[in-house]
Amino acid sequence: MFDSIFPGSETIQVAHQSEVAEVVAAAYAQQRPIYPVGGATSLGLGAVAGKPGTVLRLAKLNQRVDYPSRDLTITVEAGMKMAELAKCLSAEQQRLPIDVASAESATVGGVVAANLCGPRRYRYGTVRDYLLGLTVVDGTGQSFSTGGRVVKNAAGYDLTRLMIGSLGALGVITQATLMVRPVPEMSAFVVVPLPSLEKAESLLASLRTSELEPAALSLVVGDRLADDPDRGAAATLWIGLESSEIEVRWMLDLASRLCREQGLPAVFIDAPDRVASIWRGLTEHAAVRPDQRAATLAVELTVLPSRTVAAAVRLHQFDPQASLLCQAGNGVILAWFSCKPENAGELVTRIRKAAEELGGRVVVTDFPPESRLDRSTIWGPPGPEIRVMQRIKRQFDPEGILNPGRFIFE
Amino acid sequence: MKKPLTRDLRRCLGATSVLSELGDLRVYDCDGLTIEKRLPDAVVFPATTEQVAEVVRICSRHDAPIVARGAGTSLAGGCLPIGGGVVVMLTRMKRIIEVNVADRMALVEAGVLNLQLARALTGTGLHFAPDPSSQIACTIGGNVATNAGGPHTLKYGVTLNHVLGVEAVLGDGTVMQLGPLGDRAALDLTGVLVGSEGTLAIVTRVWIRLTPNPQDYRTLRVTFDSLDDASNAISDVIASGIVPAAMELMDQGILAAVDEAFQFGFPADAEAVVVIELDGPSVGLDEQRDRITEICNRHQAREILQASDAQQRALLWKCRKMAVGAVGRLSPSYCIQDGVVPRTKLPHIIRRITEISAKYSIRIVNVAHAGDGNIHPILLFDERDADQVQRALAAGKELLEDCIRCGGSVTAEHGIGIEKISLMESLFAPYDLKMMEKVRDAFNPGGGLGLGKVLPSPHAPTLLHAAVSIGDV
Ligand SMILES: Cc1cc2nc3c(=O)[nH]c(=O)nc-3n(C[C@H](O)[C@H](O)[C@H](O)COP(=O)(O)OP(=O)(O)OC[C@H]3O[C@@H](n4cnc5c(N)ncnc54)[C@H](O)[C@@H]3O)c2cc1C
Repeated sequence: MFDSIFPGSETIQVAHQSEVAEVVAAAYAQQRPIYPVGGATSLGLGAVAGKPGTVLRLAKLNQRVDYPSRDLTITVEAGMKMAELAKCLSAEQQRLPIDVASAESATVGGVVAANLCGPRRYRYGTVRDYLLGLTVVDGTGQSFSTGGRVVKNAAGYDLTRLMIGSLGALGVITQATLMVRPVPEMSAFVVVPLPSLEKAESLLASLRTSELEPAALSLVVGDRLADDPDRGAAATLWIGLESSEIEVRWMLDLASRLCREQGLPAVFIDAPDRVASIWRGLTEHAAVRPDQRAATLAVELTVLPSRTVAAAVRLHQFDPQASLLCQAGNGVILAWFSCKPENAGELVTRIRKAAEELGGRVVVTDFPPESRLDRSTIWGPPGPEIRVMQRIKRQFDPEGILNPGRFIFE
Repeated sequence: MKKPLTRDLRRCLGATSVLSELGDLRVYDCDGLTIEKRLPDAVVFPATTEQVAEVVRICSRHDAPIVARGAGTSLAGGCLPIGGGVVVMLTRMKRIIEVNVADRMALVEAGVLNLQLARALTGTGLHFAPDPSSQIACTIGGNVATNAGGPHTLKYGVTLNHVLGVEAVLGDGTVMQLGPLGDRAALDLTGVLVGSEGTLAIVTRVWIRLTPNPQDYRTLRVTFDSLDDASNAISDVIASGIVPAAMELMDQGILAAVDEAFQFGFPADAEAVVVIELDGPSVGLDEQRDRITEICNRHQAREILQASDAQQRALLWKCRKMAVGAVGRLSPSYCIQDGVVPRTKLPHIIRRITEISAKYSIRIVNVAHAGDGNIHPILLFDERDADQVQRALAAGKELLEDCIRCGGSVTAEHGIGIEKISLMESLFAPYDLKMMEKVRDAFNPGGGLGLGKVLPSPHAPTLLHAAVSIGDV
């Protein structure tokens, strides 16, 4: 199943945290690579594995450990699906406001390791802002815990943050404690079809300096959401609003006034079903469909928020067919291009150069496996801090058995 | 003996930027934790990152330990110059380099004061959210190093949530630039440096995330006859799904001190006052206030007053922020603890404080960032009385051990410093600590930065020893 990413590897399932430690300890003794896999939704992130080894499937590690809902925290095993977590929290009118595509497959541990997030990051932040503690098995097969279960904790070094986005290269996450939030009373959208991409610039600037605090500011170019009221427009801005009903109604008014001032039409959507469908759409939108992987290059470009539109315009110039999902409040653009495997490397180089001219950076998030992009093409040139990262890697994984060849450092 | 070291430092920084006379050094022999004192060999005032890097290289050549120091308001002994060495003052690096309103971020040097930044941002509609009670004095570098919090942490998060990147000098003198853009192709080294208390790197610049000022506030002062009712009400507000901007508890003991200092007119016979602030768009605030009022009334609130204007709000906050300072009126010496418990355990831990106070015959007064479960019991004693010092230390330890038993931690925002090292082994398993050591070795291989802080080591002083030697200071 994973042969294109982990060629020649066998697969093992584990169902208990202690088994993870056993498997890794054995692999350490044999210097055999371990490739941790949660829901297998983000395996496009990172280079093709360097050596055959053991794919360690964690999805059965899915127990809820503790949910003191009145404390607004929850502790679960790392293989728990995001959808399962959401279900469990919604019983208490709570949620983790981190949107993740394919939530019925994606696991909590995978989301932490790949640092995934979606449209709501503008208002609510990312995993970094919610993760309180972890249990992790290091590259020698020994288990350690980080942080704790309280919402504020300054004891010792923050190894929790270190593990976020570490892509399984420092340890196998087996358990996580998260801070959660009450579900807001109401959620709604203001949708703005835009006659041109440039037109987004002035609207976003006025939104960002207004008193509006949207949950999401997502600009969609190219492929459209099924819910888009005007697919003929050059681009669509989705302004997500969440809070108490009275506040959301006030924000709807304000947003529509700001759009009118710019001479732009605005469509309100507040029917709960449609609103939910839009959130889903914005979250799933950028996920590369398995049947398209062979001919798709996906990148994540990051610039200062005020340069989002400029960056989007540049990407659009490269390829007018490209699809873009811009988290415009954060300066993050997910872009995907149809691309022959043999052209992928060159396209990345051009995109990266354009991003650097705007002071930004680019990471490849998915690519045609056949193109076999190397690590420096995927991750970009490392800065001097790579030395510290390498030293940490050697401390946590002395034999280099955790996800070798995939992340930026060895 | 240390002549060559100071000579090299002078050559690098100029004579006026290096102190080495005994009288001058005494000023730097401790920070806000006064029960333990050590003399450094020199104190230096670099003005640029390059100078900081050069100082680090000189110290490493001379094998001299280094302590980074901002305003020295640490309550955990993070600035104690263990083993002598050099105190690196960041206070001359106080430029606000850039404020980018459109992108809501700012770049500042480490020595910029928290309040200085707040003032500089006036009129931009933005602010730096962490607001420690020491904000008139403390530096942004110190806030980053301790992952400082404050009353408004409840809604806005701690310093970590507001730092986008840093420039830092590592133990070998290399300079590292991290952020401000998020980077998938890197580990979150910024996240690790936040809260590392000067033991991984010296932070020289900070990329700060700025937060929009709320449109409006509702600030309530709720008086309770019983401390128990107050803490139960707080726990219920959190569980109800409202997220106030702040929810601060002050008990009778501290109220008396505050009132003596500021004549605010707090009721003298009430066991507790809770300051609750809501912020956001005006339209939604009255509804939230009414829900909170209802919860407080359910818990027998005696009186609920709303600040009628900006001035009253400011005064109420002033009382809260000056509360710790006012404790000086109650006792010659005091020690502020910084425990944290799961929020529903607040009523339990507040009761335990009363019991522990009685058990050790040590008076304890309380302020708390109660919405976060973060308690600041203040233990009052007389530093000149060795027996009292012992009892205060023992009471503090028992209290923090209780926080651990509740599933909490021994510090929420002040840091471990030297003060709580002995509790690290109760909080973490040996291998957890081992992993922290590994991270320290990756950033700070020689261990010269912040020697003897945060992690248990042979260099860490035991405070029991401090208690015995107090007569000598
Ligand atoms: C009255 C009073 C009230 C307080 N209230 C609060 C509160 O509400 N919330 C809160 O969180 N804290 C509070 N504190 C504690 C203290 O003010 C904070 O920890 C503050 O962040 C320290 O800043 P500083 O500039 O004084 O740092 P210092 O005390 O100088 O240093 C603190 C630690 O950080 C290290 N350090 C300092 N600067 C740097 C740097 N540039 N690079 C690397 N390491 C560095 C030092 O080595 C030391 O370990 C309070 C203290 C007092 C005295």
